[in-house]
Amino acid sequence: MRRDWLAWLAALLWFGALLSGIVGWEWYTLTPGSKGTPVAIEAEPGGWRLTIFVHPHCPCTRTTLTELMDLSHAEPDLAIRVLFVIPPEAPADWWNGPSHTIAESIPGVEIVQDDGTEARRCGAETSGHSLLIDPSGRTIFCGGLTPGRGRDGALRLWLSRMKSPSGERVDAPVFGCPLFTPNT
Amino acid sequence: MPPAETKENNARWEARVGELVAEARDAIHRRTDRMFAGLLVFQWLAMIGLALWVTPLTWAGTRSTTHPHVWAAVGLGGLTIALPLFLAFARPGRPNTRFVIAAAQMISTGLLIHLTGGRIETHFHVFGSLAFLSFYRDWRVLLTASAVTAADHVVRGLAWPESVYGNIAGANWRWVEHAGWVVFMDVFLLFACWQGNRDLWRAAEREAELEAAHATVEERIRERTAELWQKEEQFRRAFEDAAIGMALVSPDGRFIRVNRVLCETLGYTETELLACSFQSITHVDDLAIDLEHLRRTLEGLSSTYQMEKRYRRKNGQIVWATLGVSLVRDNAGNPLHFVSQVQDITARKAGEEALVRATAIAEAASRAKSEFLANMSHEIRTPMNGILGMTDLILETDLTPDQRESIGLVKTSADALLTVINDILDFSKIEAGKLDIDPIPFSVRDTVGDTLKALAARAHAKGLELACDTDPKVPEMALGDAHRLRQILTNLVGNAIKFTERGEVVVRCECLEEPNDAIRLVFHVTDTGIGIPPAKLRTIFEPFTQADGSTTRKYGGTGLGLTICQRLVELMGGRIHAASEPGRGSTFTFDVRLERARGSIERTIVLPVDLKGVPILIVDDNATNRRVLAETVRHWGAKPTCSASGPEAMDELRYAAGNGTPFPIVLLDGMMPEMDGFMVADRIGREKALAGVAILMLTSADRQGDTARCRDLGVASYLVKPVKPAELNRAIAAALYAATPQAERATNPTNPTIATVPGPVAAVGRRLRILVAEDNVVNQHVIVSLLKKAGHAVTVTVDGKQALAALASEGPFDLVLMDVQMPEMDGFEATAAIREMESGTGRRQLVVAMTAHAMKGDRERCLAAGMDDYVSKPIQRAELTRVLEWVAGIVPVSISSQTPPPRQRPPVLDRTGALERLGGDEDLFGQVAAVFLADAPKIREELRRAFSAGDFAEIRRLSHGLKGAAGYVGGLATAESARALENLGAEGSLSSAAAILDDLDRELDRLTAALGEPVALPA
Repeated sequence: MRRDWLAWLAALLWFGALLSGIVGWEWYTLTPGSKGTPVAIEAEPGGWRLTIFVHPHCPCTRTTLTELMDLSHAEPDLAIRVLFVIPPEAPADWWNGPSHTIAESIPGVEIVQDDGTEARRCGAETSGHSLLIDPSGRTIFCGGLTPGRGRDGALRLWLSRMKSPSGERVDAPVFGCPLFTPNT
Repeated sequence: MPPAETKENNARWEARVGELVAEARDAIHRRTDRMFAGLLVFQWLAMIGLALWVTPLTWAGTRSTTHPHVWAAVGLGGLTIALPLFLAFARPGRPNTRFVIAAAQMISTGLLIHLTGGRIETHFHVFGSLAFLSFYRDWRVLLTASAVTAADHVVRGLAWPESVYGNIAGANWRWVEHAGWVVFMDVFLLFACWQGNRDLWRAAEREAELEAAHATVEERIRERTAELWQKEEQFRRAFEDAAIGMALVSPDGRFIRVNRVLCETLGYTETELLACSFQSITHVDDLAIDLEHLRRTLEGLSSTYQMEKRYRRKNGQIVWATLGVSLVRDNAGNPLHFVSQVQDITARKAGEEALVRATAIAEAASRAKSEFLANMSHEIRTPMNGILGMTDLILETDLTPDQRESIGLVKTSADALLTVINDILDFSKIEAGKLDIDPIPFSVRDTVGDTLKALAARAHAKGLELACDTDPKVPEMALGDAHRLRQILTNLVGNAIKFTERGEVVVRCECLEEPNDAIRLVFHVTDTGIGIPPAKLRTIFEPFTQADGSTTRKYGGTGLGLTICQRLVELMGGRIHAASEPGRGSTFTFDVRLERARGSIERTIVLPVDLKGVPILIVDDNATNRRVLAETVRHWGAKPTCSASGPEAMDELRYAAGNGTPFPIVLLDGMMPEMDGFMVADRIGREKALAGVAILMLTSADRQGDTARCRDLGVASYLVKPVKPAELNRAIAAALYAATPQAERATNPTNPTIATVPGPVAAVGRRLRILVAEDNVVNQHVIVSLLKKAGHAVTVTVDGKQALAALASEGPFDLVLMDVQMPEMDGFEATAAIREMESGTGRRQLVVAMTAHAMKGDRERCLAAGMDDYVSKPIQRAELTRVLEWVAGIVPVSISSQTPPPRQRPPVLDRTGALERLGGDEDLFGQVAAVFLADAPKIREELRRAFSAGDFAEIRRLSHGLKGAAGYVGGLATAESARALENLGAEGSLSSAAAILDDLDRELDRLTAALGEPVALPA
């Protein structure tokens, strides 16, 4: 009996520890990255345009890019531009990686390398930071396209919200790796 | 099904099934615990690998660090499997272990889902895990796992839906769908668990049944094993502790196993014996036989064998042993080993050798005893001969009454002494097993009648009636030892007379059929004497026993007579017993097995005269006599009428005469109360109406003067009882013949065939020339006196040489009475010389031995020596008379002077003599002659064949038959030649047989020719 009791106690403790760990892990997953203040977000009138700043090696951003692929199929008129933020200190081929491969497979996508200037101008500090610009040139969405690190499923929600008739800009948290090396 | 329908067994079986289920479950749980331990570790490693592959690093610009997912995989994953791993190894099979494992497995699934960002494919891990967990076949495990998963999905679905499903689309309801699938799967898994448990129970039941069966089988095996062990132990004990030597021997002869006794018997240790083969210790002279037996046994010609053999002991001594060997084969029939039993019989062998030596000594002693008995017999009989002979002679002279009484006592005493000696000698022969039965053809009725006649005088002297009642079924002739039969009857009837003071002694003879053409004659000797007490009946046949000790003193006797009778009867294949009622008499009954006489002997029997329809009056006061006589004459066809007294007889005669049917024959008892036979005869003679009645006087007493009285009274015949049937028949026939007028005889052939019969009292003797060879003076005197008194011419010699000289000088004698033991040349040598001289001459001198030897083989020795007959000393007048009558019947020449012409060869055909023996019946003679002529060639042929084959017994048998047959037809020369051949057959010597056979052929030819000639009518 005593040993059973100890076993059950151990199981309880074990379960509590697990629960704590899972909660902590979930906290990390749902903790968004930082967002800067955009210097100027001006765009000429045109069609719907989505600009996304991507850290070439951020694993969470691959989920964002996968979401973009679905989005490109759903919204073929949406002009998608992926800006791989390449810091100056980064090696030359630093931007090649899985994210680049995914990005290239998105139909009609425009892949652009950014040395951080554009990112900073747009206030993007975390990979996956996106800007949705309506045909009038107004930024109607600013933030991440995923509901958490590496998690998809929120794109259509954001898109519906982005295309809401209220025309108000929507800000959303960005889940991804920092685009810039600290202290640089 | 439990092994037996009892509550106790059922409960035990159910408990065992439960145990097996628990054991199986525990095994499943432990096995599944171990499997999940491995699976959890594998998943953990996969989780780490997945994290390292998908999210190895996290970046900040160009700076990267390990991704938190990796740490989460390592840390959380490790924590997840830590407890279940510990429990799986520390407490395997326990319920909480598998509950923790179930929870850990589902948490691992959650971590994986988390790591893969809620990919829907990763959710399949949930179902896989549940499926794996169903291996536990424990619904609680599935519920635990399902609960953990449900909690995970619900909580995280509510809090962080995208962590569960990868995106937040449908997060409000997807957990329900997921839960539904889990429940759906759980239902089936639980059903599978239930089925698995059911199978578990069934398997356990089968296992329990198998165990029960196994236990039963085990129990039986244990029992069988115990039995086998016990049997093996029994065999081992029997083998080891056997009182005789035992060994198992391989087919090539090596000892496989030996017991203690064998080692002791052979003087080897067990180790030494096991190192050698039986061949090496078997005596060399016995080895070949043993190996031959062994070979036959190995080849399956026999399964066992037994022999006596010799072994050589280790110390060189020889051991005699009885060896019994049996071969043991395997199921395929291949020889495995021999089982040998060895019994030491050295001591027995030594005993046997000693016994052989002792037997030899005993036989030598027996021979000495026999010799002694023979000598004693001779020494006793010689003076007895003198005593008896001279007593007889004295009694026939004129004596005063006192002298006659005294001499009569001497005679009686001598007779008694001779009886004692004869009994003792017979008993000695029987005890020594030297008394044999000598079967020859003989006339049953004559033998019985003669025996009783010889005893009649004693019976009549005591006033006893002596009667013989012979069943008509009794054959005339039979093959048996008439001498021994006569001896038995003499003894029993003699005893009956001895122990009967008044009344009668009746002998009844019956015949029973036996298989193989044999007959069994049953004799009853009944008397009206003192009888025997029942308590003594069983002992009277024991030696030296009489019914009462006082009887020995009163009646005398050795007490051996009945013992001798019993042994003789047994020798003749019968039994003897007695029944008695004290004071009223006894009946001794015995039976003997005889064979029917065959061939010419049987067919040449003198047939009784047919008395069909002849009325006969029988007058006798004794009822038995009346019955016997009536039965006898009725058997011949006569019509008997019985009267018990003289007056009654007279009435019957008168009545019959008055009716015109007079009795032609009266059988009249001479001695009757009030009116005796003579008075009746006198009355008959006086009455005219009874003239022509023929009277046959039968009397029990042969008194002096009776014959003359009969002649005076006109009695036709005077017969002494008991009258032999043949004798009575002849007397009646003669009386009827005499009474029938001659003219009537010639014209009435239907009358009974009546023959002329010899005188009724005794045969008229011929005067013979007799040579007596006897060295003892007393015996010479006795025999010469007896012979001369009978009117014979006697020449006396004292030894064999003188006898030969007498024969040479005086020519052949009618008879030579030859003493066996004589100085110079004994009887055997003399007879041999006589036969030698006769060889080739065709003549044969009749030689009758006289010997005081009464031992076994004497008769055979005499006959073998060429003698023709045998009389034992002391010479009894009756015995001598028998021999003389026999000789007179053979020798045709009567002598009338002391110096007759030399005796010639017997005539070829003595027709007159033969006719006399056949009652003068020419027809009968013709029939007998025809039979002889038909049989003679066959016998001659068979004799030739037997001679060629050297078959002495057959020669003797055939010659004997031919001798008798030739004698019946009067072929004396043929009979003599046949006798000579018979003697040679008995001797077993055929050296001179060819000549005798040729002589026999010639005589047969002559006899055949003579019989074929027409009969010359008397002038």
